[in-house]
Amino acid sequence: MNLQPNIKNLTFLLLIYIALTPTLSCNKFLEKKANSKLITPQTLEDLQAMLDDDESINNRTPELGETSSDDYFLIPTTANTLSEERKGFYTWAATEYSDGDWGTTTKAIYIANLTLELLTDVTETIENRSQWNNVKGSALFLRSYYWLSLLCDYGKAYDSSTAAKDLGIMLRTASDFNKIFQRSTVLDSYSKIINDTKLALPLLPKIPEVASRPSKCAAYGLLARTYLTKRDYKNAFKYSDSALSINSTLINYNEIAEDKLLSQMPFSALNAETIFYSTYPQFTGLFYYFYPGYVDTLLYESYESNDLRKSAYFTTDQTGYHIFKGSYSDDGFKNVFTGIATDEMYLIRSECNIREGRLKEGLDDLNTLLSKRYKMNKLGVVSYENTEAALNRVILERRKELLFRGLRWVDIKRLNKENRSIKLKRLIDGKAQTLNPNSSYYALPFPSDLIRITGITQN
Amino acid sequence: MNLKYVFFILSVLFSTFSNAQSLQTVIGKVHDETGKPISNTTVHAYINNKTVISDENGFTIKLHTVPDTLFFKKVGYEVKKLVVTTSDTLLDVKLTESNNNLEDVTINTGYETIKPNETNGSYVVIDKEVLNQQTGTNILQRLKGVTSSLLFNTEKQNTNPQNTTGISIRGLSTINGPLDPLIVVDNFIYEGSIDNINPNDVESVTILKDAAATSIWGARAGNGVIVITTKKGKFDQKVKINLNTDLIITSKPDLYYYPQISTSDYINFEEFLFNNGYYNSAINSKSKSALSPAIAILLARQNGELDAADSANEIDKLKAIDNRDQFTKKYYRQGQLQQYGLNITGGSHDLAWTISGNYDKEIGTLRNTNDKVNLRIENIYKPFKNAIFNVGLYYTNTHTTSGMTDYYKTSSVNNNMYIPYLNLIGTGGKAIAVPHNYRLDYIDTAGNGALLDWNYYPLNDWKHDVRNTKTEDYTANVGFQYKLLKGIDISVKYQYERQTIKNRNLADISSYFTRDKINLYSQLDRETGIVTYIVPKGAILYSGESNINAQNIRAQANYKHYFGKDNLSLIVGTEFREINAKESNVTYYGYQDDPLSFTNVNYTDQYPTFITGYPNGLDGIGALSNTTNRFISIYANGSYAIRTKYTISASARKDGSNVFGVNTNNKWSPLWSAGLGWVISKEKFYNASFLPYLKISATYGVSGNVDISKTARPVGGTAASFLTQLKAIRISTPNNPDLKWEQIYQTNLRLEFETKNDIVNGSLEYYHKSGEDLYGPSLYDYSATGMTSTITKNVASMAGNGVDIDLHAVIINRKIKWSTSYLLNYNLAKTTKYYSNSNSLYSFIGSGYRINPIVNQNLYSLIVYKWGGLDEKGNPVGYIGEEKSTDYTAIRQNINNSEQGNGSIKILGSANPTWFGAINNTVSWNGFSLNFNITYKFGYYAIKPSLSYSSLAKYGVKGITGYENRWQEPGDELTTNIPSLVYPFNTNRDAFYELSEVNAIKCDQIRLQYINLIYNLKPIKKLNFNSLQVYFNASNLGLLWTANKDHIDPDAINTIPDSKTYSIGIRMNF
Repeated sequence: MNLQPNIKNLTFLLLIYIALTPTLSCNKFLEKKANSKLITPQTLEDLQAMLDDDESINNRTPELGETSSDDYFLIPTTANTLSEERKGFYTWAATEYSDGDWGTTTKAIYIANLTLELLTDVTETIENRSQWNNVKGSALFLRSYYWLSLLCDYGKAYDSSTAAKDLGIMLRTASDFNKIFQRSTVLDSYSKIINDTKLALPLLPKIPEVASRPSKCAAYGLLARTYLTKRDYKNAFKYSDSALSINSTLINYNEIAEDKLLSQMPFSALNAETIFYSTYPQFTGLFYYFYPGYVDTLLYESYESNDLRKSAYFTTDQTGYHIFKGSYSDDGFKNVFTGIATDEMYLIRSECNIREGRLKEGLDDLNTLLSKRYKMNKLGVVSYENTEAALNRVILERRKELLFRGLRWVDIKRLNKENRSIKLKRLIDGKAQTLNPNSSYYALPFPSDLIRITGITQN
Repeated sequence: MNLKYVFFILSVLFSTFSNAQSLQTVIGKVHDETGKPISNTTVHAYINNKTVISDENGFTIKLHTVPDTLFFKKVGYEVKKLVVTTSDTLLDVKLTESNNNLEDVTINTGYETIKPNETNGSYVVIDKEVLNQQTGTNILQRLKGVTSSLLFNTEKQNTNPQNTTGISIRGLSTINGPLDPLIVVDNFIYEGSIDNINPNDVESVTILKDAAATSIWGARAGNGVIVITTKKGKFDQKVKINLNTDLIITSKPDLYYYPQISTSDYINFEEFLFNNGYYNSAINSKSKSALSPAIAILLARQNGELDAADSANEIDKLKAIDNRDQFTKKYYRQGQLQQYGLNITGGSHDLAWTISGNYDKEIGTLRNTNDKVNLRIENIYKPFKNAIFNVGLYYTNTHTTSGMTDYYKTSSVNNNMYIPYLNLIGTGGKAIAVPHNYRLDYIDTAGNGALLDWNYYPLNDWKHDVRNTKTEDYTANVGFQYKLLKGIDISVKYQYERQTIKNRNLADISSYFTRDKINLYSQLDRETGIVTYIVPKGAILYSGESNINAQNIRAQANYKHYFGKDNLSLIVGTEFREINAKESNVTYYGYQDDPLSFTNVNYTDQYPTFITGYPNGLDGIGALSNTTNRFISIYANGSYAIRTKYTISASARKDGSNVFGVNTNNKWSPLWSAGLGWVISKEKFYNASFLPYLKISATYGVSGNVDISKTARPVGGTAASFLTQLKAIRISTPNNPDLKWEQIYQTNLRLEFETKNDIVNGSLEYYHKSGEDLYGPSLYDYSATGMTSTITKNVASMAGNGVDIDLHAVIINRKIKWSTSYLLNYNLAKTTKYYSNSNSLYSFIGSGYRINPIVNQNLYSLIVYKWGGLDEKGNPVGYIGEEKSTDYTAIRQNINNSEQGNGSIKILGSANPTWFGAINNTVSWNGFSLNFNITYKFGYYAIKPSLSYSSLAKYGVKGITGYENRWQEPGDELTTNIPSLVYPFNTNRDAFYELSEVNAIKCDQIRLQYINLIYNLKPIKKLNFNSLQVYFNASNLGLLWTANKDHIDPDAINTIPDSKTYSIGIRMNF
């Protein structure tokens, strides 16, 4: 019984506790992070880690341009099993579809936007300056890199006379999906891509720690690519040359062991030629092995027997047709390389040299590259007196070297602007379907659901 | 601490049993006002501290000392006090009935126990007698058919991890937020698996329905609350022993119920596709994917390996097989579940205790096993005046072992193609190989004998690939309550719960899984024939563990004060909660039990795989996760009753949490409710003698619905980059700065009544529920994030009305007693606002699982294509506006480009039952009691299985029906609605037919939920028991009636219906 007074005191304290605790200790108690695995990125390290997530950053090249291109074909029994949406892209008649590239490539753009937004809350100091710059430069580079790839597939081919009116793509610069962005013109799209890449240049390291990260060299490469697609060959030359001044390594295919060259995986990811690494999302394109998409037979025949690429790039299955296996990735069947590599830079510089009338320099570049591709001493020297013939050769070599890198669709667009009359043909149900040069379909349709959601203008 | 406690309990137990000497014997009779003896009256001698229970002949109590005061207690009667001074006389004790029967029932809200007349809120209490009308191990399943306003969404295939119970109370508001009602056991939210709670330990279940009832539970109570109250000892109660055992038999599942097309139709279809080259890519595939036996024969014929006669002969043999027959006979067995329960309770004047143990043993139809042990100790102790101390422990240990794989998994190739004629049994019942992932002709010769056998033997494989799950749960609680002053109680309660689940999947070297892994990674040198093993030749063990640690502490003050005839009752309190969840798993290769060892493997490198040469890495490097959720709440609840006629009540609560984020915590307004009650029958002017009790009440309140998995900020997880192994953060949920929490507003009007002599009693309720900022999957500008095409955000507002009617009637009350409960519920909610401007109706067709974007239509509606019959080519015809069309892409565009589908669609009606309820009849006679429960659901629609040619080709026969009645020649369109077969397939055409009007069914149904027969043996003195019940129960008895002409069970449209179960059992009380 004599416990009672104590109990009374205790209960009195308890009542005070009931009244006060929520106000006193709430905030501390609630500061605990809910999930140690879930992260809401904040620090500079977090932002760098977001940019190092290759699944979101390096695995996002649009594939519907390549799907619509002429480097591969499907046999009729395969074509018959396609869904209506897929078939639409195969036959250049896509109308109603959802997601596609605009649901995948844009992840990298989202991460870049998010990074730029969150970076404004991170103070730049002397200690963190190089990392801070790298994060900012990387985000700017990545956004431009994927904008360009989308612009190549979904915008009209660059034409200086109409670029100020032609519709390009949405240049989204905010991560909040509640904000809608309309399509910019082709001119504005190119300006933004070029300007942002130039902004990124001084912020980026010359050579990256790993080639999955952006670098100065990659930014030069991106500018070279960008100017090439808008047929500004002067600038394309300038930036391909800048890129090659940092990295001009070529892999000599003669030095790859024969069984390796013949194997399913002759090359590896992040190899010496890679300036910036990217691939398509896994297994999406019709040109992949498992549909299977077979390499265009005429294109296959255009590789000479002395050309090591013929065995490095292709494997033949039961049908007698050829499947592409020559990707610069860790697994050419799951991931097809679309990044920037030195071979592309040589080809750009070569083409621009020739176009700018420097035939010898152009052919030197071509010979440098091809000598690493042909069996030792079997090439001879490629030489042309005629600029047009040299140009034709470099364009052919470009197609043969940069197969399935996501460049063919925009090359067709660009070259047809110069009256090269590349006409695409497919055989469907025994009937030939064609896509005429400069057809408006070259600006691929946007997903129809996205049009409804955002009200943007369809092609 | 636990051990000490067990000793404490045991010592108490023995002290209760030991009564060595007796001096005075007091004998007496207990009867009611009419002189009828009352048995089971508790007779408690205060000074002697002894308790006995009276029977029909009265009672005998032996006392050490007299005088003493005897207390007579019996539920339904006023307590009687009698002083005894001598043992000589025969006591004659008359008990008077207490005046309000309703007071027998108490409502446990989880925060306090109240009597029905003290509250204005809406509650349903289901006591153990009703719960015991059904058998089975899950307490929530026993609420089926006996609880008003509670709906089991049996047919909604929901993958929402926050919807595990399938229960909705008063209709669904959200669909993508948390759907489960809040489950509370005794005082606190239960975080463990509900299967841990043994129904034998449950005294009653209380359902909290309206806002006045739920708002005390705050931000997570928007879907209603279910409070489970466990059995507890009472003070001054003789030792009671309850024994319960039963056997439940589950019949074999009916594989023939769920449609699939016949074997011969399917083989003909395969032959058609084969001739069209459909299988060429599979045949030529580098991955050597499995071919069905028929395709293998056709291919052999094509390659000239079989002649025409042989192949036709082989095909005919296959056509004769329907492997459902094999599976039913040779794989399935009857399931068996044995349950044993023992519960002992007792109490002296300062100690009440309960100790119980249960054991369940189950062998399922696929030979899976489940063993469960529950132990429970609960002790309430009065250490000194005005203080109550309680301590309890609930322990559950469950062990499950996997059995055979189910029919569909067994009868499929390449994981998802269902072949009805895979031969599952060899001659003489032997195990034989079936095609599984690879072509049989390939794996026969693949390694020239250097590889392990690569065949899959379904009859035996389960013995070599065994998954064990061990669940242990401890829930321990302590509480202390002290009466501070007159009317003021303060209490502190603490509960700790720990649930550990250990998963272990051991696939030994004979299992297909392990052999497949070893072979796939075998590096064979073709010249030397030497194999290098990447996966060691040995068993593979997957081992995973998850832990939940939950702690709750609550401090509460209760205040009760009488102002003359008025009384005030008030509680205020605060609560801290922390739930920590941890998970880890790892895979061991080359695992051995004895000596315990495993082989280190390289998880990072990739190796060329055997069949394709494509490189791949090993999985199972291990993963860890750790989540902590914390909540702080303050709450208050009060009521003021004026002359027991009028009651005013109110409650309020505010929650804070580390998941909401600081911003939301600051913005989060308190949840509250208010109510008014009026007992009309106590008014002077009231003179309806046929209705002696009549009360009306009205409440209004707000409760919340918080999805703790959502935040406005971007959320990601850490990972290593695939390519570079650099530390990476992968964003999985995009930032949505506009995200808000759902709020549910509810108005409730309730009328309770009781007729004269309690022949009919019940309640009628009307409620109006509205919700704002409901979560729902919504289309959004996905080009902003590059993630999923829909996102869960606040999409809609809704408003709904409902009616709950509960009637209990005693129809005959003589030697035969017949009583009935009628439960009738109505619930219909409509979309009042849809926030998204892009309501592409196309994506809403056929599902009914998403909030309907059309304002003023049912919140969950079944939307289908308008049907225009078949045309003369057997094409299904739809509409664009008024025009008929077979351009399915144009139909889709038409729907997408118009607000309400522009003639292409039809909104059939609700996708959830609008009317539902049950009728529960009990007839008792002479110790027999027969109970049958009929449930019904009306007013909703669903899509039935039909025919999609592209699915049939891709996924095989599962759920495909109507093939034999398809359009085959002109004129057929007059007699059939099933489209013709066209090739190449047109997936839009298939989808149009599947989701059109002709395949929608009305789901109205009446079913016999269960029958329960009890026989109560008369107490036999010699055997020394108070009651002995033998019971028999049959459940899942199936449909009595359904509105659809196809006789499809609306509760099992896309599954095999629940098997019938039969139980027999005994319940004894000593």
